[in-house]
Amino acid sequence: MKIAVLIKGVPDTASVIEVADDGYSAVTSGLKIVMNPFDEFALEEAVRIREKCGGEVKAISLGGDELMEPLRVALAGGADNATLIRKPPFDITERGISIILAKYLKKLEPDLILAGLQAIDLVGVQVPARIAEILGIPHASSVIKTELLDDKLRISRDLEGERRVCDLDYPALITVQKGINTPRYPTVPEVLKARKKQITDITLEELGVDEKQLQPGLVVESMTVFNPSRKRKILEGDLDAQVRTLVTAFTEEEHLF
Amino acid sequence: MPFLTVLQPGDRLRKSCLEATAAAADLAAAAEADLDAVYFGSGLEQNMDLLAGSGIRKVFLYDEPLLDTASEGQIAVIIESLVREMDHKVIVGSATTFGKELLASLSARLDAELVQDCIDVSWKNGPVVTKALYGGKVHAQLRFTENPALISCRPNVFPIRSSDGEMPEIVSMTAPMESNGIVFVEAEKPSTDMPALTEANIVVSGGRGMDGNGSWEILEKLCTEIGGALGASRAAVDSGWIPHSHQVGQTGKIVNPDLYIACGISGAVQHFAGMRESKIVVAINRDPSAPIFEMCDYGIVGDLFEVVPVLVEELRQRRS
Repeated sequence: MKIAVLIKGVPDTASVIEVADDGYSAVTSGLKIVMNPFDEFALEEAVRIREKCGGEVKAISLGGDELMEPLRVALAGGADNATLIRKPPFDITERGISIILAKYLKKLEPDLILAGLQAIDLVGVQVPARIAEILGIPHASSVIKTELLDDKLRISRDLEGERRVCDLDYPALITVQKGINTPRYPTVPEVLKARKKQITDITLEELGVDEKQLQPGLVVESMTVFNPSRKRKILEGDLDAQVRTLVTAFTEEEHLF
Repeated sequence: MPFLTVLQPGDRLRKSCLEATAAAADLAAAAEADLDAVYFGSGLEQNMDLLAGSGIRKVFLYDEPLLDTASEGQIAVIIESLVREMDHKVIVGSATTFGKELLASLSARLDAELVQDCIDVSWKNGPVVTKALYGGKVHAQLRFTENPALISCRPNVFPIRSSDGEMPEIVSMTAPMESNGIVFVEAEKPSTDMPALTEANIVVSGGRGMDGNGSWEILEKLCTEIGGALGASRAAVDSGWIPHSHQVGQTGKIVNPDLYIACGISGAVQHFAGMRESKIVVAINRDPSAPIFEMCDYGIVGDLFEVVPVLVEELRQRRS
């Protein structure tokens, strides 16, 4: 089976994010870029499926040089090879990203496309579904279990606590939820071997994407750092007094009940 | 050109869909546009009273039991043709797992822009939305420059309109359901009466301080007492004490209840990413230097196993 895994780079989760002086962009240069945590589960699931039925796992990213390290991590984690599609020099929205990735995937013709449920930085939650719709293939999000049937993929999804089971024809696209698996830690030999695996570079020109299609229909008006103000009242007295003060605050100050 | 609110299929109208409808109604009023709604499946009749006074002009109803379990892709095909026929300019839905996948599918079919999980919407010659980025550390205001504009609203943010007032007109629709390469097999509804984590007004979460998987009953009792949903930190989930579906944080659910009670949670930055927008945060922790106390409104330094039962008892007494 030919399996494609979409890998997004995100600032390390503990990064301090600042807003640039222009007031409408976040400062991300200089931050450590890592593989989006949800994509680790997608990669692991892809590798497990390949281990069951053979084939190839290709890791695919869109961006610049900052993606090389996350792609190396994907190769160490079991991907056979990787492709880095170079992003255009202007800002694009998730719509544009999806158009580019779909163009590449249409040529690649994978049997299965996996991605993380969402990216933890911009939480766009739309690129995978858009790609599937552009390609005209079935798709399902928030998958917590996969099962290979004869000629179909059976998946279980988590929908706000409801567990829903569906069968998908190939080719198909799924996004995976945390809990589907526990990603392996690559061994030192795997990490060294990954250094030798190939990462193919592709430009938009080579892909044949029309830049006019990528023009955003959304503009950033402003960006602000959000720090909710908190009362930080540490309650005093014995336990009973603390709890009484708390419940009184619930009703009288916060009007909660 | 009218606006459209998308009501999710199912046997009940989700609270989060009514919230998204209220946001859509405010936008439509500001833009002096009519608001339509679309509903799929067989459950609308017993829910009609919830739509009184909602600001909806017409409900396009696809009353077909098969649609109760249709996939987002299958439903997007039907909404696409409705939107193309009626020329809806702004399309609003709820940012549940299903709602997000549905709007993403629809936005691709319409080649339109979509902003998911918005926490504010307003109208300035077009929709302007606010979205939380980077684990909620940054808020971005985005303006649509094209039609149609697609928006999903984060649950528990937008107040619902009171349900009295004019009833919408029902327009019965039919549409063939295409298989689209996906077949529904079965569904298992949640086994508890607890509200969904992302839609709950109150969330009670446990962390490393829970010390194992046998002790969660103590938090469940508190949930039952105050109508809350049960959450957990990543540490508790990764220790195998509670399923991942309860996890709040960067790799779990993002919640914004009126009240968030963190029990035995130290307060890692990744946890804040999941509950930063909560209106009131209460922290119960043995360690007075835990970072959660810097980010709470009310803190009790103490053992959660001693504090929580006293809290449950106090709440029970006040109510009776």
